[in-house]
Amino acid sequence: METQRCPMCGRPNPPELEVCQYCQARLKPLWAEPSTGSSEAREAGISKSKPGLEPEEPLLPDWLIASRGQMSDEEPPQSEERGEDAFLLPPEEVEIDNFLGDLFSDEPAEEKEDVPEWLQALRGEKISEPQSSPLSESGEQGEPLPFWLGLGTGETEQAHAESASAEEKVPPFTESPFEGIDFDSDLLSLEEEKPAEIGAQPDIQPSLSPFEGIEPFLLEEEKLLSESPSPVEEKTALRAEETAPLPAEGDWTSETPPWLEALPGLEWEQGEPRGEEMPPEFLQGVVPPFVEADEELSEIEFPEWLNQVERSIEPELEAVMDTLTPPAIEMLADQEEGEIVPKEVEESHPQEDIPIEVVGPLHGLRGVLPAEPLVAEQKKPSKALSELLVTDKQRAQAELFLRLIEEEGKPKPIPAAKRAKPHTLWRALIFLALVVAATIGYLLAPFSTPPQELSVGVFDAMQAVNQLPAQAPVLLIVDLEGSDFAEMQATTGAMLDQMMIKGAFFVLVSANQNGALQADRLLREVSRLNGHHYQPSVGWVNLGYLPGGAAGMQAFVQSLTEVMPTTIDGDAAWQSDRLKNIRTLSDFNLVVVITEDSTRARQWLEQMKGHVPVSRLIFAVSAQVEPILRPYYEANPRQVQSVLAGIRDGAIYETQAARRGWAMQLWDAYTFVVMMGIALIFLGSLVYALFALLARRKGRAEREGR
Amino acid sequence: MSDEIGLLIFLALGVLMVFFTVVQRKKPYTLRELPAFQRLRRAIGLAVEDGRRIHVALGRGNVMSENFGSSLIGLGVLKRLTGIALIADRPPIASSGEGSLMLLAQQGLQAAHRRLGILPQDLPRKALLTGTTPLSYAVGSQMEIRDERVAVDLLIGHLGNEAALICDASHQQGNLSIAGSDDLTAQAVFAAAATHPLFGEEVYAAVAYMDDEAVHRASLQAQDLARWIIILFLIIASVVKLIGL
Amino acid sequence: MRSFLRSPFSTLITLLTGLVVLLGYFLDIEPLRELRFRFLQWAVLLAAVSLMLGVFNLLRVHWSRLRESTSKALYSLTFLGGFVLAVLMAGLLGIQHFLTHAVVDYVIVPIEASLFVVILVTLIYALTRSLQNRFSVFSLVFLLTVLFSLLASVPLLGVEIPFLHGGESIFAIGQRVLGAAGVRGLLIGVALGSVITGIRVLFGLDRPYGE
Repeated sequence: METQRCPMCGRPNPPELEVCQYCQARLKPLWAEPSTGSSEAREAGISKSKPGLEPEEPLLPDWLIASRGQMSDEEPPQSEERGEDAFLLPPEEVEIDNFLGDLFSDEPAEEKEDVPEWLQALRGEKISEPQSSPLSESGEQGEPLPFWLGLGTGETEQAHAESASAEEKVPPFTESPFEGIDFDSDLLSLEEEKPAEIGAQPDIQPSLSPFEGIEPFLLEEEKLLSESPSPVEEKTALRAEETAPLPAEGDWTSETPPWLEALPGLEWEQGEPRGEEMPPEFLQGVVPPFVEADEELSEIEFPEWLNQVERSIEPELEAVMDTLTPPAIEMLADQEEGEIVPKEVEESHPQEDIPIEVVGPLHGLRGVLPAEPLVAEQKKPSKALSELLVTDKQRAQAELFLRLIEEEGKPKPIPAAKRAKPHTLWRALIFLALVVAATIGYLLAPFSTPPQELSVGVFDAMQAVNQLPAQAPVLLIVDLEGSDFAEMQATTGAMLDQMMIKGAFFVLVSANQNGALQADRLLREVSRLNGHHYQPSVGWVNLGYLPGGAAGMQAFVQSLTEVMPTTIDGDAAWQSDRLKNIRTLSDFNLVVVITEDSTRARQWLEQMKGHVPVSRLIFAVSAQVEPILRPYYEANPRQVQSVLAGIRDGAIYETQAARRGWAMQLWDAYTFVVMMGIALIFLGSLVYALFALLARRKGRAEREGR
Repeated sequence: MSDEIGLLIFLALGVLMVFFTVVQRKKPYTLRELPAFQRLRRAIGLAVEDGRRIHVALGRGNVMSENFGSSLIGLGVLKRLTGIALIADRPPIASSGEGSLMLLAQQGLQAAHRRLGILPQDLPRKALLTGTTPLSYAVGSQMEIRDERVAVDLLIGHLGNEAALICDASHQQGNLSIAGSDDLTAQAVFAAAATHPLFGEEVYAAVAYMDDEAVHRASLQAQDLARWIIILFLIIASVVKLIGL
Repeated sequence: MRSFLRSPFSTLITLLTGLVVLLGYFLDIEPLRELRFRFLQWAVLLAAVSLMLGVFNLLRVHWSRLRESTSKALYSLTFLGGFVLAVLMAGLLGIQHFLTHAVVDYVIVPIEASLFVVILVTLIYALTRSLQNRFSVFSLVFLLTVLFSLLASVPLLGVEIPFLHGGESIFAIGQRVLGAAGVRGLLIGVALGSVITGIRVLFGLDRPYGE
């Protein structure tokens, strides 16, 4: 299936499409399409998509507007009627200005009426009947014809007819680019590297490129600038042009000009399959693909006017060549190499006084205001400007930046992570000091002085124990860890001793995993130390571990026989004679909570509230728990009968009960250890505070020193 | 009577929370800056970059006790930390001293893995019970801190004076330790041994500082309002008692 | 099934259970109280089971460490050996056997007591360095309070100083007023936080342990 390739993305598209279905680029250039409607924009080479400039964006300089106005006054609307007379090059300044005006016009391009004749000729859009020709036919098949091939189109005949009329109105040569061009001499000058080709094809080689007259924006700017011929080459070409005689009419038409041979697609003539040659990228979308025409250029009959052009433009062209700039000459030289180099627009204005612009984007145009040397004089920059002004801060920053870059590649040692020194020696000293103090205190125990003041809590506890009947059931809730056993043993030893003297029967329960073992051990130790013969199952039953935390405590308090029905050994706990009457907590004569945990102490206190008479509730706690339970003890009404706190209360209890126990044995050691701790904390804090102050002072000095 | 008052207080707090949650959407509650959480943000990033772990000590709060509230906060902190640092080479670990707390921690880690689409691996070693008694729990946590290249230690839950051992291990490793507990003894220990101690209800604000959910900010706002109401009530009650009414 | 349990269904169970226990605590309605009691019993059972699960998890972790043959495998071996021994002794011999007593008296208690001494040394060490770590007014006041409390808790070389020791001493008054006030304030704050956290979890506003 025949497809057409998109000039932008290169993807194949159906032939009937005008716009690429992938990238929305135009597949068929606007100006190559048959004239079916408004064609001003296409004729000007401006796509319809070019938006018209806003009136408030005037881009035309005043001089151009003026010239446009002049030209528009002079220019009859016959510009559209010019067929072949409108050749490639817009010979008149009017055309060029109009063309430029089209570019920079504030009005939409569609409104412009002036159209270059050459463009009209190419388009064949003369309103008059388009004559078919091989070239035009091939163009009409959908492939746009190269405009330079319009020389041999079938429109030439009509152009002949019209040329006369056109000449009458406006001298056609004024628009012809070939005025004054000696094609043979040009051919010789430009095709020096290809003498064979030149000799074989003494075609008219216009010194000016077929692309002359095309606006710079349509041409490849790089080639324009880089391939413009040098002035020497231009002059050489011109001289050759001057000396070479004009070929006879018709001679040049029979031979293919070298520049034509140099165009791409030549190989097609030489037997390669015909096809369309894609124009350069800068022309894609604007210039239609080149299509090999069936008709040889040499076979084409050129119009009479062209011959006249040849004769008439020679002197003027000679003058023009004198004014060619080096870039133009380079372009001409590149033509010799067969490249399709768009030539600069050569001004062939009959008004030779009007200078040609040689620099900038308006290079090659006549009638533009000269930018150089008057306006944009190249001046050497002042020395002050040429020197870089660098402030001290910028210099410092630049040096820092350079240093950073230099140091980037240098390996830096990774600093070891700072870890706190374990201060093992200091810890060892602390431990040794405490051990020494404890040893001294333990050795001095026989000489110790017990606490003198009677604690209110001890008094209340003693009172509660004294009121116990014989062999009364006592609930011992022992929530102890092994680490606190010694302290709680000292705190509760005397009280438990007193209870054992009264023959109390203990029921042990614990809300922590270790408590059951500790409770058992506690009673064994008290019994052993004080000479009681308390045995398990006889002197106490151990219900074991009560899980569930506060919820378990609440469940136990509400229904203890159901929650803890058996002992830790698996025996039925509440079937014994001593416990058969126990159903609720209030059935116990005394409830003692022994714990070192403040949270558990509060939990037990709050859960037992209302279930145990206050007078029967005693708490024996560690010294750290005492501040938390004191509000309950000092409340009015009280919520707990007594709070025994720490070794101190245990020692007081032993003293009051006249039963020497662990508390008194440990009291002096305890006091010595506490005093040693005070000394260690005090001295150590002083030393470390001093270190800290010195370090801060040092740090401050370093910061200030920077 | 006291039961009805308690229920009323509970309901009032619930209504306040819901109300403030709705208000948060329009006017977020501004939290005061706590240096502990400012430093925590940075420490988490450094730990992840350094290939070190974050350790969360959940304590030994019993699920049936009122001290489980701080453990819930610890679980919330663990959940958010895991969401941040799970992609690191060494994801966070949690140690607990209670079986139910361990199970909940594993569940939270599993949920975090699922949320990120990562297969949970070796969960028992990421959320483990290090000991059933307070001291054995502390010693087990010490071992985790030393063995697992921990950089940050968060002690948030119900802990006692055994937390001193955990803080000491953290200090010896040069770690940052942020500690808070509902237990007063532990708070006293943290004041001396932890890098950044949290006192009172600051531990309950930990989750609000770690994410931007409206419900957490609303909780703090309700807490603050309730505290002011209690203060006013205490003052008024004291004055009334003084003047003999 | 898993997603079904993770769905709002589990949140609904949480909400209903919590409401029953809470209302059963506040309202004196017999059926509600009975239901609350049942729930609490189940919870106690679950707590005991969770303890067992925790112990199994501990065994599993140490077993895996033993198999990995790391440098810390010795500790895991010690733990596993001690666990097996304790289970056998308590299970076969009973808690009242003298061997069990010996293990408790000469192994468990001394180890825990020594750890407590370590805590004591650690705390003294931490207190001495508190000013170096944080040289602030708070640290200074804290240190002075500790020293003052320790001084007031024991007689100095057997001598009790009147204004320092005793029930009406400065320390006692300070402890009763300032100390108790501070404790109450902290406890109120903790209680508020606990209640608010409980409300959040109860009504499903927050699930710190799951999705």
